[in-house]
Amino acid sequence: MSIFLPVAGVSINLFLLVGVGALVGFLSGMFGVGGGFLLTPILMMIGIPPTVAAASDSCQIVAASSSGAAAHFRMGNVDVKLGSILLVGGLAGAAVGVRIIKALRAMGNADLVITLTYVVVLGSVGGYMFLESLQSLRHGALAHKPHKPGATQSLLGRLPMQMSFPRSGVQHSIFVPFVLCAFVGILAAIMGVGGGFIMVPMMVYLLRMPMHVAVGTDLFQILFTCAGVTFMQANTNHTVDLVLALLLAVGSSIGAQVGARVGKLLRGDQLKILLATIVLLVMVKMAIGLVLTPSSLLSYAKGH
Amino acid sequence: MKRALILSGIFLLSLAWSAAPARGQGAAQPAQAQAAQAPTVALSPSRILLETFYSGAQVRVTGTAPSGAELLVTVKGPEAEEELNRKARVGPIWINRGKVHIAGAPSLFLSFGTRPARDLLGRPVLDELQLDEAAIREGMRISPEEFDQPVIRANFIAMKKNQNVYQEEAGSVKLGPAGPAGAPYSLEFHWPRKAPPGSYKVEVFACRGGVVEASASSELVLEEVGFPAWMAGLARERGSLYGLLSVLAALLAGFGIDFVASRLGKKGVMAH
Repeated sequence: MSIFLPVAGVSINLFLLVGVGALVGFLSGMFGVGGGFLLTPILMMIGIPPTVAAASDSCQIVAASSSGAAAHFRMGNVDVKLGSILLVGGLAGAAVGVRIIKALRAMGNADLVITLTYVVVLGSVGGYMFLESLQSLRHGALAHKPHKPGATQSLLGRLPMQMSFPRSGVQHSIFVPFVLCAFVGILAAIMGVGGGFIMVPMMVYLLRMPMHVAVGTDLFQILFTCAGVTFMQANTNHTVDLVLALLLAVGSSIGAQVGARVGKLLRGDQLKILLATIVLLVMVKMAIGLVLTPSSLLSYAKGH
Repeated sequence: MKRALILSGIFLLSLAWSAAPARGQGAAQPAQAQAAQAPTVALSPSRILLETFYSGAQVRVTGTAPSGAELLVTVKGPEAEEELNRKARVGPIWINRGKVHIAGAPSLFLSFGTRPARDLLGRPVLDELQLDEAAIREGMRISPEEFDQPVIRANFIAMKKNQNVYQEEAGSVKLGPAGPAGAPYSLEFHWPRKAPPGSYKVEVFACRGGVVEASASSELVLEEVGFPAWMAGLARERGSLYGLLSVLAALLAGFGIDFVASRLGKKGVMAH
């Protein structure tokens, strides 16, 4: 059964869309982070115009993260104070990101920048995760050394306007989470992803937050960041397809429930190396697409 | 007697002279009769509605053709100037380098014939009426002119074919046995899913001896209706309201899913 997507302007099999959402939701539920970073390229592969795929993906993340954030909030895993600072930074970054995309579209380079950003970010995150989890698998518990405050931590500790965050059990300058989230917000707007796969490692390794609070707080701020991105994309670029986003959200919510149960059967290191492999495969596929001679030397200027 | 014979000869010659144009007119009369026997065309459906569950449509073209003529059926979308990105290689990667404006090409071109168009009509006729892809390729106008014209022309046609909005299919028009009113014909094809809403011209050409003997046309309308039309209009014209509705709908869906999951005793934790 096909469904006509009013903004994308294409007719696509309804079950394929729910299935794609379920597949990404399954991976999200299984690995704890990610989903959006896989969804946008998959949507492009099945014929959704790149700019509509990225904007609608943000809308889908609003649905998925609101559900996750509500559940984490009940469990006490949301640091609202830190999350609010992250949120302000994220919205500022998202506003900048949407402007960047608009300018790049006018120059005809939006699709290229989306693809290049994907390749670089997926390559970095995937490569780091792969090496780290490979080391973990090889050396077992020995690899998990306690973190010592390094030069970066010392530098961050000397910044002005230090603030205590009791829920996370940490103290930071207000500028650290702000700048961090502004950077992720820019990426979220350009790539159409929530940024969890960059944000959670940053919160754990740089802000020293406990893993479960990092995930809950990340979901909380991502919800608002992506709501902002969705609104701005709809208002500025008119590229949000609500029908597409809701179908994906239905699929991803079902997939996440199944994925969470399957994930419990695997060890943490095994999960991480599996996710890193998927991330790297997506990156390699996109990189090859940039280097190979395209099937057509012409493409529509407005992401048709 | 001799004078009578000469007069008779002159009379007969003048008769023959006057008869000659009469034969010419006589030859023209059947041609006019054939021209009057123009093909007919009926479309089913003549309106394609882009509804919520639109999945493309099957279009049937039927009618009668002049006896002995062969048929070429074309479907054309309105001409519109298209702005496209031109990819070029910079180092190892392909990036967009500059914009190309293409005018004079139909937004959609479908061609169906009893035989390939080039076998039915001469090149001058095909070019004049833009009845095959070669004619469209040569007829389009490209700016700026300094770009590699043949490469862009070929890539434009290839891109349209890849989207299925340019198609040429020979042998798909079926002609039945000729009767007093002509020969019935039929054609069935799948309407391209990527064709945008608009009005499309369906033309039927009766071809004989490399020229168009007669033609007929009809209109096929593709329009968004109901929910998709409302939603596309809202997204286009009232972006801020549409954005607000999108966020609210997504929040409602998310909290709704969490509510259901928690009621079912499951952890509704979904990553993003």
